[in-house]
Amino acid sequence: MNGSEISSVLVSGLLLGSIYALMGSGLSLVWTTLGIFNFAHGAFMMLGAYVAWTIGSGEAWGLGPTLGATAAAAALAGLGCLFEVLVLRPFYRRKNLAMLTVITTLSGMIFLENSALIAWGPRIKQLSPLIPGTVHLLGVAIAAQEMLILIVSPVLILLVWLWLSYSQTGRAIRAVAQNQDSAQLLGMNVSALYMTAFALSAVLASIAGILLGSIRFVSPTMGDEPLTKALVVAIFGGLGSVLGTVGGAYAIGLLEAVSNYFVGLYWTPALLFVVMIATLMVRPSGLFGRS
Amino acid sequence: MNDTLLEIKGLDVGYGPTQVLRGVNLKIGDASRVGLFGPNGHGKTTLLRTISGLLRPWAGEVRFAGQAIGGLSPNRIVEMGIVHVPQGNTLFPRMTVGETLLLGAYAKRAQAPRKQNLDRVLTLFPRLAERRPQLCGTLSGGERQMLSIALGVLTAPRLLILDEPTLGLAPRIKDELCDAIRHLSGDGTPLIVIEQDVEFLTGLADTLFMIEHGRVALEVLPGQSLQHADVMDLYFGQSKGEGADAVSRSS
Repeated sequence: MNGSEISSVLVSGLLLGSIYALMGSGLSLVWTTLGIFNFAHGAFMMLGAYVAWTIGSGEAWGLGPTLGATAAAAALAGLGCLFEVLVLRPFYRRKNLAMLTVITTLSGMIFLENSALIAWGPRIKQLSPLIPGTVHLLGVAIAAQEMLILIVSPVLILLVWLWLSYSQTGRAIRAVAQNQDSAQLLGMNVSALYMTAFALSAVLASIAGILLGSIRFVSPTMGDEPLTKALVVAIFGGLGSVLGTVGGAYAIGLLEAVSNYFVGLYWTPALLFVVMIATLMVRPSGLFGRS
Repeated sequence: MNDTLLEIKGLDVGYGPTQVLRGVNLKIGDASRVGLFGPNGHGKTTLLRTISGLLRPWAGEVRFAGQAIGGLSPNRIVEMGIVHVPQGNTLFPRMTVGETLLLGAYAKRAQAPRKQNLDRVLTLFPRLAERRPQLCGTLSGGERQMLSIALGVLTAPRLLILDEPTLGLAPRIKDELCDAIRHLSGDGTPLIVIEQDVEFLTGLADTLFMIEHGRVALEVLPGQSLQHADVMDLYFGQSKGEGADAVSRSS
């Protein structure tokens, strides 16, 4: 493997890792805070892309990609709140919450995907990039939009991490995950905090969708494969830790890029699952995780 | 003028199908220091959890400063000024002491006196200042209790409720905590304390309630004196022989 091939694989791995990190961190946030796995996370990603397309694309309202992206994030924040109230909140008092929400979020996913199919039709769409043109990274030519992804993703995750670590609301969200009773007795409104965390994860998913939709395609089922990858990443990196998920995301991204080069596209997904299983056998809480 | 701060009438509460409190009646005045005691499993903690909103009453009334609070959410009840420091509080295992202290001032009512209360709390429990960078999960039992009580103070209570603050602690730490609690009550905050140690309660409280079988079995109001023998009788049952032996052994 020569120098430019290595760079090419590296850049590809970083790009995949960035998108997986955005997807995985949203999923991990919900798991850590609410203790549930949100099967509709991929659908949120897809809807983010579609809203951005409707607002921004010349084929629809034509208000430009920036406004489209902003509107998508806002819309998904709202949808996240609504989803939490309708699909999750009624079940918080039940003992089998984790199982019940598998069913409810899965139903939500099916509902949202089919709604998108009806609303926008089956033909794939493309999101125009926020920054056109190409740049060079490590001697490899990539789209400027891809460079944007490489920067936006870690920056966004860092901002979220800083907010969770140092703001009072961020602290409160971590607190209710660790001891709900004590948190309530300090005046925290658990439902409101759950809703905030869930809305934040929906916004992260929508941004992942917008970024992915601008370098790949926008379709009603575009979120399915990223959801699977995000699941692998979140479990592999360690479900209890948002930063661990990010580490896992880049590891998996790089692994996938290397595997695509040597093993090919067909076997790579299977290989990734094998790696996840092997890691879990050695470290049951994931690479960086605490259960 | 001793206004009624907390009034409970005919309270029935339970968990699932099991009833724990049966028609509890009690009244607490504004300047009170109240002790709650009684055998384990008879409803003391259940009563506190109902007052603080973690449990919803099945029947009956709970009024704080005249307002009905039964069934309100715990965070609303905190904003009204009732601060419950729960029993055996495991706090937030993966957060540091420093972060937890910051969370102590989460409630809106805790904002204005925030700096003052923090100074007060760190003076009362200097060990917490040292432990700031440490995770709550690594604290000793005594330190966790200190932090729990500190959080109670930081929330700017109008009524502070402590559920077995010295449970499971070594005698030396227990004394430290008892001193701190006496100090707190000296500052004038109305207090309800549950304790197994009736001696400590008689030293601290001016009103005592004994909870047995989900009811208020004995009430000692300000001015009345508590006969230890009465307590022993009720504690160990009607059998005179057992009660008398217990009294003569302990006195």
